[in-house]
Amino acid sequence: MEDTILVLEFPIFGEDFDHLGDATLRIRESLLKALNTPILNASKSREKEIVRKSGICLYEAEANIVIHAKFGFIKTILYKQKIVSIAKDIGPGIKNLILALKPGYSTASEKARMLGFGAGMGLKNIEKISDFFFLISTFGKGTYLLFEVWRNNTTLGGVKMKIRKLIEELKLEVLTNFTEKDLDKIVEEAYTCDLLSNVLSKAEEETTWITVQSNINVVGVATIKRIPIIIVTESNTPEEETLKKAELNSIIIARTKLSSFEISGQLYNLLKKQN
Amino acid sequence: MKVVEIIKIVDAVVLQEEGNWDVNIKYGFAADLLSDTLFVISREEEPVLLITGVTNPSVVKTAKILDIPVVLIARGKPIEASTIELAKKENIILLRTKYIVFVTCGLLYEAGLKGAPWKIQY
Repeated sequence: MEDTILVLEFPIFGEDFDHLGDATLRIRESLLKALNTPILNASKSREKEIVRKSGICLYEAEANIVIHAKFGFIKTILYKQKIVSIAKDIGPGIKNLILALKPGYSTASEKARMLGFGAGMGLKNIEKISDFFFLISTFGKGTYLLFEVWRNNTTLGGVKMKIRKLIEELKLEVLTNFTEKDLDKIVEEAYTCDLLSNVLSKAEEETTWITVQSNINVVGVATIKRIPIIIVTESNTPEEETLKKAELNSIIIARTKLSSFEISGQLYNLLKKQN
Repeated sequence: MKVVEIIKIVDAVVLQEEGNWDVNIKYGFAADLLSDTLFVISREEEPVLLITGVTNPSVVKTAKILDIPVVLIARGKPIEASTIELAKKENIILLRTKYIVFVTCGLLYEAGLKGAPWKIQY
């Protein structure tokens, strides 16, 4: 069963243009804080992406209530696997749902347009960004909108693989001592690069790292990025010190005879989406 | 492109200076309709500069939600005090130029700022 982590609810008043966006900013802040807690074990770049997605959708939903409705609320529930948001209002409702989802179609007032809203992109935007979108409306009564942003959807959508299997498939030679727990970690993508600063800035957290480098700094970078396995290519031999530090941080260092290009190609085929 | 360079190119005034001055701006986007901004820049991007004529606090809120570090107000428009206050709180740099949006964009484009990637299917 899914665990609820956080529930946030804010009332939104129609025509209250001064406070438009305040609720979204508050929710955004709380989500960031909640996702930063170690229990959730979220990776930095991914959590930023889902908070960004939710933020945009919530802002659009909030704007819709302020522009069109009399009164409503937005509610956000953070589960372990997804962020679910509901925007419900008492208001005029939507006469033609298909028309409302058409980009550029808007019934916003002059005042809303003056403030930069009412481009007729709102609902379409939410539909585009969210992973699940549900909208019902009774004309003359109100609107109920539900959308979800999924936490695991920001990956490549490929195959997830345990490190144990990855080592088997690529025929890697493991150089560090490891525990069963290390082998049970799951990887779903990889990053090939020899420049440490690039890995620091560009690589996803918890990725597989393929490199020809084998000095001790590699382990430092891998620790920061929470990389569970480093694949050293072209049979380079890391120093004893490097291996020791890797073991200390429960990082596996594995070696292969192949070049970075070849091992990347093999791993790509293993991890890519199967049709 | 650093924020200081942008200021030099469009002869801008700094209205609110709290924020990240080291950020390397790669793309520009100009719009007065905030929903359009939300629609186009809704993916994770490199830092974007928002050029707009909107001066109410909504513009700061939009920038915050989209992780836009710098907002450039065009046409030398007077700006509401509440907007500056909010920008200060949310750490978003506010600039103002006397040029109209078209000229602002032209100058920045010439200087090497690219348009925000436009990958949209309606």
